[in-house]
Amino acid sequence: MQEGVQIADPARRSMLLTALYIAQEQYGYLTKDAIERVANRLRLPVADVYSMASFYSLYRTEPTGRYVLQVCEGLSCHLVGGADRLVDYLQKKLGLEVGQTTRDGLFTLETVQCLASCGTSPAMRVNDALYENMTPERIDELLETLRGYHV
Amino acid sequence: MAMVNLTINGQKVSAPPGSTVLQAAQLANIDIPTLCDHPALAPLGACRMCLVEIKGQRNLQPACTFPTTEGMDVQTESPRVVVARKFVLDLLFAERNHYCMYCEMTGDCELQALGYRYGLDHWVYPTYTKRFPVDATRLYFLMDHNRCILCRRCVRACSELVANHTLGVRQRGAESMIQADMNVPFGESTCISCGTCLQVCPTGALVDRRSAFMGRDIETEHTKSTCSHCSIGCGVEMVTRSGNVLRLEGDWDAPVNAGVLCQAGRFDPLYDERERVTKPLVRKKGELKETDWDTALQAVAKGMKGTKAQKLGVLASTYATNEALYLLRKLFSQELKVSNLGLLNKVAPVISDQGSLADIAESDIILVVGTNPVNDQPVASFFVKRAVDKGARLIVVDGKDNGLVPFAYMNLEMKEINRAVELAERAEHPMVLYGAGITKNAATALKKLGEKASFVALELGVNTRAAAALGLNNGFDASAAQALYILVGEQDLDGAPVLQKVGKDAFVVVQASFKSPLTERADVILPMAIWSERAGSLTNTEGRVQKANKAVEPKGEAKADWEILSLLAAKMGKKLGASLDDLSALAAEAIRPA
Amino acid sequence: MFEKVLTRNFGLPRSESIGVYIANGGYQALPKALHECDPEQLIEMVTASGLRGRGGAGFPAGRKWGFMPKGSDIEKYVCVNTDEGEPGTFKDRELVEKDPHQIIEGVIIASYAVGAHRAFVYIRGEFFLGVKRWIKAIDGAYAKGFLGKNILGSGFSLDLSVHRGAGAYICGEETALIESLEGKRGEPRKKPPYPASVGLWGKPTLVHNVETLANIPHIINRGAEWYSSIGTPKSTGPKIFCISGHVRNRGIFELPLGVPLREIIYEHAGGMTFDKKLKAVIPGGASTPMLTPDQVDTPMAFETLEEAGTMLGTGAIVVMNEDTCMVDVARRLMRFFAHESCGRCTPCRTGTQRMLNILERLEAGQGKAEDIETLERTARKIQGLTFCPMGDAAINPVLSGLKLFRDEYEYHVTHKRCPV
Repeated sequence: MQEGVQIADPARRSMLLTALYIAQEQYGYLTKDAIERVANRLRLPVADVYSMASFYSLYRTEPTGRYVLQVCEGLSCHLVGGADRLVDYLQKKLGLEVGQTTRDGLFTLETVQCLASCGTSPAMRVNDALYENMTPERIDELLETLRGYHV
Repeated sequence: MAMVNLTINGQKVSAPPGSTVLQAAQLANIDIPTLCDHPALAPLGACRMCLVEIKGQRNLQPACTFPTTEGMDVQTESPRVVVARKFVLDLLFAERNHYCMYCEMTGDCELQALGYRYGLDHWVYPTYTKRFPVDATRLYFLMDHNRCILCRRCVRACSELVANHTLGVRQRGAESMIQADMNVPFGESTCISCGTCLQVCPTGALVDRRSAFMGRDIETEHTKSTCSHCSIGCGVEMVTRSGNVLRLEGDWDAPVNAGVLCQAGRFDPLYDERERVTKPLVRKKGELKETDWDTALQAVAKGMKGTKAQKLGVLASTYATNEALYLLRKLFSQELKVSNLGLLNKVAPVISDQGSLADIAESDIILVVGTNPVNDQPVASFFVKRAVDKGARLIVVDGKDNGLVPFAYMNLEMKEINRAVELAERAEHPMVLYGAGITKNAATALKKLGEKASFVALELGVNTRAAAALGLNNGFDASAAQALYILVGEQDLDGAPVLQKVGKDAFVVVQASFKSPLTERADVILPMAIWSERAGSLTNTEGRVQKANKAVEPKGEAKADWEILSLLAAKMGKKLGASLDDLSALAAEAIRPA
Repeated sequence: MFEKVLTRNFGLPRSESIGVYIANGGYQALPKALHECDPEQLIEMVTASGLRGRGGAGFPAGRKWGFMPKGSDIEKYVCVNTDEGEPGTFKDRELVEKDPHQIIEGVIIASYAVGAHRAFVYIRGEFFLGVKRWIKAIDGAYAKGFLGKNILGSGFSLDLSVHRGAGAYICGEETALIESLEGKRGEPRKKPPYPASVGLWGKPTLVHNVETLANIPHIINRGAEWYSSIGTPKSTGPKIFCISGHVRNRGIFELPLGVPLREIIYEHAGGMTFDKKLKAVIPGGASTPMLTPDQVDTPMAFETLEEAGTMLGTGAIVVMNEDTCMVDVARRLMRFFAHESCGRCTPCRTGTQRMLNILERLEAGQGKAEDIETLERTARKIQGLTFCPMGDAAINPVLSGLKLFRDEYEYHVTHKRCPV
């Protein structure tokens, strides 16, 4: 909705970010069905809801793996040997490119902007959890642990 | 009202309080270039084209959003401003494909015009090599994302003016794209093809398919008129070239619609594929034969004169001008004393005469009773949806398939009208929109709202209000007519129900623009001009009398609806007024409520 | 040794709990403010303290409070900006995770001072632990009667709730934050009108950074005079500095404003890793122009850094050693800004993209001589042209890089590779 268009029930609209999180949790990602349901529930145009979902980087309109590995490519992570090095390592290790998902559907590799862990960099996020002071060795451990849940 | 005084380019300017710098400049005829700004839309301040230098402000400020203050000193074309504008243009021209030579809008493009104005003669940045999609899934227009400058005029038009909310912006930053719904092709979206986005697009991103490459604006003529396709009476501009209507645009200055149109008003008239009647035809030995006007009118006059008044019948479409309807009544009802007269569409009962369509925007509760504007008067449905966006509560008292049901706060059946009335009584500015589908009881119940509410009858057809005022709807029985005059005009009509009742030997005259089952049955066909080919006036559903103008010559030997009736009257020896102006005045007088 | 104020509880076990906060003198400013002061007095006190916003712009907090319309009949709101995302900055996350009650106490006092009865925390979506800590702390404050109806019998009521953002740096800009709170795309609004007159849902709104609010209880407890005795005359009070990059002890350090940059780098942060030579320092987060080794004696205060041609920003110091490629630094930061541009206005949307393209070309050894000139011209032209301050922020890494290390840019063109 544009600035200047006063809307009927502002409080209802304010629930949109939260509603999208809930939908994303239930559906795995924001499917068209999920977006439609959110739109109907909050009585908002689907175009608006989709526009919102695509604006914010934490909402996904495409399916991802079970674990989304987000490597911070911020400056502070890069300076201490993170970012590119960890991305390269993960790409080789998982045999994929940034943006792709492993064939077993377990891991999706992404890069993100600053995670506000510059004092404990390099940092990465796996789904909602933050991992700091990362090294290739610690990545190996992490991947092993995560895989262990799905044997 | 105390005015705000400021100086623009050394010139003293006064503007009403609350004006932006751009508005103040426009009042003084000082041109500040804009791209994302559009007079009909809320200012956005996004494109940075209208930046101006304001004394005391560290940065250049966008004229479209910056408020004026007393004593302000503005420079609109200072060297600093010009550098900034050129920079913005450099960026825009290189962002996507703006290679003007191959663009439909070349010569009519706001971006291109600004390129010329600021002397862009080369690309500072390498042009974008990325290809963007072209969405051609809509019949009437296409969206070429390569030409899009992300000014969001279309998005704002779709939400602010039409309240349809189909268009939006996807992603962010350089990835931003205009999209429909959840990034689906236009043709599969909730788009209602009103074409308002098309009319506001400053570049060649949204292009009318029918008139594409048919001529630049400078090579065309614009004729203002009134839309003749429903009872709202929207102002239109017919864009013509070499005697052809290229496209229709909404008239931004029109009092009723202020620029917006619907699919039925903007596109459908130009995509009408029905076969025209271009010559008068008279049935001879069972077959319709082409003839001249004089012979045809003679045949009509003879048929009518030879029939007793009680055996004469008149059936009229409301797709006719005030003048034609006036002559129809004058000739048949008053001169020939015919009482078997009827209209081709139903008429809503009169509940109250107070109220106008403009009141919709001010209302806090809207009752829609026995009318389906989404289908029948789309522009009125835009007004309703806009009000709902602003917080008005909508109560639909009609069938479940009413197009406004998805937007309604409450849906009621006609027998539950009292609940709607109760809610409306408690509101501050209730608005009642009703139509021919209303029941007698419901109409009586609504009268309780008295002076508190605004009422507008959304009539079916076009000039229904005028036809009703002229008393042309006093019941009609086709079977009682031995001679029948049918003014069907442009109306797309399945004549079967009428034809079934018409006696085998009845003499049938049809005044029509298109061939139809009715013309098949006719003994005389009088070819009638269509909306673009005739002048006259129309009365909209609020009772507003507006001019309709002629942009092109009638096809073949077709004549304006009123002209045909005027000639027929003369043929029958009745002088009922000859010039259009005389007729318009007489008609307006006859239509005006006592 | 400077007595810690904002981070004094950080070392305590379960420092985030309400019990630890109260046991260490927490929630003592609140009754004082509610029972002994009227709102005007509080505004005066904060003005006298000289507290300036810690979110980046450094606007005097007391003046911001003063802009809010007076009167209890007007609906007003307070927003707590926890949308920290500027590369190099991680102080707000620590404050929320380690001592959220300190902020809550500040929010209540600020709300009372401006007459707001509803406050919202807007927190960056990535801060999962932060969200949890916020919610738990707010619940705790409600349970103790610090939030809700009739707080401590004062007649003042306040509700506070948490809104989680969803990944957009621009939402740290106050009007974009408000848009996001309203459930819209986080695109900044035009100013004027400012949030103090037209903010959340069209009502007057005070937006404050977390660290700014954390200072409030201490000012009330110990007085404006005590507070303004810390720091420099124009930059008063304690500041949490974040230091990252090529130093031994990366992390946060609470120090008085005006502390020399040298002291932070070489004493608190333990100096350069591997004793490499210092090449450049970003003093206040990604959007602040860089400083060179000869400027490390600059005091870290608003006015002194401005004199040095940069800004205090968020106080996020990024230290870079001699092995750092400055074109790469600029490219990285530009990628950040281009990625975070909301896309509304032309110069930010396409200008940052153009600059990024050029930097990528240079870094890849495909740059042409005129590229550097185009890069600089583009940056200069973006300056002051964008809808919100983000455009000005985005160009700083490039402009300061070109000013200080132009030869390095040129080397990339002439040698088609990096000099380091």
